[in-house]
Amino acid sequence: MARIEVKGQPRFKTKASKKVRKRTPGVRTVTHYKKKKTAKHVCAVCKGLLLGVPRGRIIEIKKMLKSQRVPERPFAGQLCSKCTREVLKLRAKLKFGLIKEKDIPLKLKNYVLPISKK
Amino acid sequence: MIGSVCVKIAGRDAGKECIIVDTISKHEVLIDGNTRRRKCNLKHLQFIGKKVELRKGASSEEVKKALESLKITIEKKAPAKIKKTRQEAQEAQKVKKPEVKKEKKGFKLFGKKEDKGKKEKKPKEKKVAKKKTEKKEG
Repeated sequence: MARIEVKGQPRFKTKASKKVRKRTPGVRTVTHYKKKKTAKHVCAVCKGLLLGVPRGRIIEIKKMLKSQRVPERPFAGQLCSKCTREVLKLRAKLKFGLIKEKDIPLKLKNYVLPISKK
Repeated sequence: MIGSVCVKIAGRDAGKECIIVDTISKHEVLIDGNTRRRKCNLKHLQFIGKKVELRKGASSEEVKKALESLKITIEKKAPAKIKKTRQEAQEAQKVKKPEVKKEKKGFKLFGKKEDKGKKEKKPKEKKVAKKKTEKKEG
């Protein structure tokens, strides 16, 4: 048995595509299929929304320029700007001996410590 | 304020060491060092608590020497790209020889098929099933 493909419909009956019901000018309800978007990008520490990071399918984002995908600072696309400032402050203090490893809060330890081990 | 060593927290140069060279206003200063030489908001700097003797508006070479005295490694910047003039670009093109395309051996695209005489098929030899003859002893 050959599989029949209808134009505008997904090949398999998956839930990867989003269904939208629309009424045509000829008073007929038709289902339209749309591609789903990815989830919004979130900070790994505070779970706040990341600004300057576009949201969409991988193909759409790959077509963008590199400078449009993420901001140009360290931890871009991973942490929000507030959390990166806290991490970099602690890194600087630890490097020049103003604080010790005990003083670092637990949730930021993974991001601060790697530089001190070197 | 001038000569104090700090680390930049925000922006492209975040996490790099620098020294304040000049004050512009209440909130803004001129910085230099591992970062680019540029004005910066004081909120974007983390002070370390070290100070170096520097004159106001010191050059970037003087700042680098000051950083070396504190045993801070200086990052080497990539050399700037030199733009070619039109004449140089044209000469460079002349030197390159045009590549000659080689035809692939044993593979012709859109080529006509050669007329070959039909091969005479050999008659297949019929396999003769050998009958097993078992002689019964006894």
